[in-house]
Amino acid sequence: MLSILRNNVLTLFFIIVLAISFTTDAYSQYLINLMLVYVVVAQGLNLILGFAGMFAFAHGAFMAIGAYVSALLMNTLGVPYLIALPMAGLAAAFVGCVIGIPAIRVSGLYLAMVTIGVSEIVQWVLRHWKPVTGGTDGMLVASPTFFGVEFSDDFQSFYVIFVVCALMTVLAQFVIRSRLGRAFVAIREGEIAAQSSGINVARTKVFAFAISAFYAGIGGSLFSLTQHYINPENFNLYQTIMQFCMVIVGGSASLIGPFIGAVILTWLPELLRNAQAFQEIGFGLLLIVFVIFMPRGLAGLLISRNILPRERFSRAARLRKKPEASTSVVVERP
Amino acid sequence: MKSILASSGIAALALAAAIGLAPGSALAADPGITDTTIKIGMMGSLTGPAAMWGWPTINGAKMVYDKVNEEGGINGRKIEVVVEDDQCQAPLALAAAKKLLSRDEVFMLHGGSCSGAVLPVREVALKEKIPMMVLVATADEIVAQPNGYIFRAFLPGSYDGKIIADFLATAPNVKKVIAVGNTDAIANVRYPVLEESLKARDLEYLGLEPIEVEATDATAQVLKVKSQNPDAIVLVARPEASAVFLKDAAKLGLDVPIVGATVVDLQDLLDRVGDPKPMEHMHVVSFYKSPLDGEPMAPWVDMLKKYYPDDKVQAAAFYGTSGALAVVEALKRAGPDLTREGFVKAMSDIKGLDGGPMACTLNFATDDHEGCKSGSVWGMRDGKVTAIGDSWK
Repeated sequence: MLSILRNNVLTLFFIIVLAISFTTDAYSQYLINLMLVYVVVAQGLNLILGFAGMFAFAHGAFMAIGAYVSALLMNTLGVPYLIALPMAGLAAAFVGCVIGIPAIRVSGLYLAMVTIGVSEIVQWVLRHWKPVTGGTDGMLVASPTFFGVEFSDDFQSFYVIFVVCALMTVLAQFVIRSRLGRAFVAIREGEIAAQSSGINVARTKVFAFAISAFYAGIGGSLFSLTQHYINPENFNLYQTIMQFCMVIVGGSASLIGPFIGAVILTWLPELLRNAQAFQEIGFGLLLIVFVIFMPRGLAGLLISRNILPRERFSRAARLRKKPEASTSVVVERP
Repeated sequence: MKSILASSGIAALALAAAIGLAPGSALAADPGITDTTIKIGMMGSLTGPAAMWGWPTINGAKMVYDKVNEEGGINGRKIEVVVEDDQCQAPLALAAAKKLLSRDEVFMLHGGSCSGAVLPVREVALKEKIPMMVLVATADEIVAQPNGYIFRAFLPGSYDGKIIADFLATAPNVKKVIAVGNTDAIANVRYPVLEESLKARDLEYLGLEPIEVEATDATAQVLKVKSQNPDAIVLVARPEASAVFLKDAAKLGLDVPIVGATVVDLQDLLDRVGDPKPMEHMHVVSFYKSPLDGEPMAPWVDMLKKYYPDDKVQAAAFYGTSGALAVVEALKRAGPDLTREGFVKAMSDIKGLDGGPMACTLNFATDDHEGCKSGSVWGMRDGKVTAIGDSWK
C-alpha cells in the first residue's frame, strides 16, 4: 500500500488538493490556486534549468506575456478563455523561441545576463505601451465563462487551474520521458557528447526555451485568473527569483521538485505572517541551507532516503547510482 | 503514465462531484460586529522594500482607534484591529485581504501602502461589498467611480500636479518647466495632470527625464536637465532617488527652483540629504497643515508619542490618521445598528470634517469618495522646513 502511494505521489497530491478544496475558506482556496499556478510555472523552469541545464532568467517575462495575452484576448476581443489560455502559452513559446536563438551561442552566466536583459525589455514594453498594456496602471482581467457560468471567485477558478495544472504535469512527464527530454538531459550532461551522439543541440536548446516558456505563459494566464488584475510589477525580477527558489528548494531535474518548492514557497510566507522578522531572514537562510547542504533540493533528499520514488532522469537518481545512470541515458535524435 | 491516466479518471469524477458541491463564497451578512467590538482589518507593507510606509502609517491610524477605545468606544463597541503584511506585492496583498475577510471576519478594511498591490484588493472589496478606507496608496484608480465601497481621506496621486502648476505659476521668471521622476505606478499617475495643469497656466512643459527608483547617481539626469535650461524642475521621485538627484544637482550647479510631489516629505528629504545646501531650492507639496514641529501638528504628534512612544515622529506617521478619523466619524453616525451598508451611507454623508493633520477638510459624496482634495506647499527658508501656502513667497 505504501509503495503504491509512493509511486503515485503526484496523483495523491492532486487528490488531496481536490479534497481540501471542498472544505476550505476563500483565503486558503486562493493560496491553493496560487500554489497550483506556481507548480505550472516551476515545472516549466525546471525543464530548462533542471533537465536541460540552461541558466535562463526570463520566466517572469514569459509569465507576463502569457498573462497579458490572455487578458487582452478576453478583454478586448472577447475570446473565450479556452482559446485565450493556449494562445497565452503559444505567445510566450514564440518569444521563448526568439530568445532561444542567442541561447545557442551563450551559456552559464552569459545566458543568465541575456535572459535578464530580455526580462527588462519586456518590463519596459509593459510599462510604456500604455494604450495596449495599461502601463503601470495595469489592467483588469475578465473572468472566464464556461457554458454560460462566470468563473469569478476562487472556488470556481480552482477547477480551471486544477485541471490545467494536472494536464501540464502529464505533459511534463511526457516531455521528460520522450526523446526530446532525453536530449535535454544529454545536453545538460555535456554538449559535445550530445552532439557526437547525433543530437541537434541548437534545435534542442530552442525547443527547451519554447516549451519552458509555454509553461510560464500558461502559468501567467492562470495567475491573472487568481488576481483579476495585472500590472508589470507582478512579473518583475522578484517573480523570477521566487520561481528559481521553488525549483532549487524543491529539487531541480525532478518532476516532484517543483511541487515541493511551490508548496513551501506559497505557504511558508503565510505561515510566517506573525513572525515578520523571521520571514525576511528565513528566506535567505532557507536558500543558503538548501544550496550548501541540499543542492538536490528536498526532492533529492527524499529520493535518496527512499521516501520518494527514484525518477529516471533526476539528478538525485543519477548521483546515487552514477555508474549505471551515466550509461542508462539513452540519447536519441529528437 | 498508465497510473496517472487511471488516477486522473478518479480525479475527474471527484471534480465533477466537486463542481456540484463547492461551497459558496458569499460571506455572512455583516461580520466583524459584536455587542462590544467592531473588528477592522488593516494591511500594509510591514516588511520588504516599502516597509518605510508600513508600521508608521498603520500606527498613525491605530492611535486614533486607541484613543476612541480609551474614551469608551463607539456606541458601546470598542475597535479591535487585526494587522496583516502585504509587502507591497499584489499576490500577498490579496492573500492578506482574503485572510482578514474569511478568517478574521473583519467588518471593514483599512489598508494599502502601494497602489499596485491595492488595485487587486479593490476588486475584492467591490465584489464582496466590503467598506474600505485606503491607508496611503495614492493611485486615482483605487477610488475611481464606479465604486460604492472604497474611500480615501488624503490627497490622491494626480492632484498634486495642479497644486505644483499653480505654485510655479506664481514663481518669478518661471516659463519653462521640466519633470524629473520615476516611471513606476506611483509616479506615472501624476504626469498627465501635471502636464495639463502646467499648460493651463501658460507654462512650457519640457517633458520628463526619467530616474530609476534605486538610482545611486543622477549625474546624467542633471546634465540633461541643464542642457534644456529650464526655469524650474518638478521632482516626482521616491525619497532615495530624490535625495540622489538633489545632491548631484547641487554638485553640478543646477540652481533653479525644484518642487517635489507628495511622494517625498521635505523634513525626511533633509534628513536623507544631510546638508541644507542642496535643499535650498527645494519645495514639496505636503499633505499636512504644517511641518511636524508646527502648532497645527502638535496634537497629533502628542497622540503618537502617547500611544506609540517608540515610533519615530516622521511625516509617514500621519498619512493614515485622517482615514481613521473619517472611519470613526462614520461609525458614530451609523449608530448602534451598525451594518456595512449603513456605514457606507454614513461615510458618504460626511461633509466638512476636519482632516486632522491633513491640509484639507473631508467631504465625501455617494458618487465621490475622494474626501481630501487640497494640500500645501512647503519650502526651505533660512535652513528650516517652512509651510509656504499655495503661492510663491
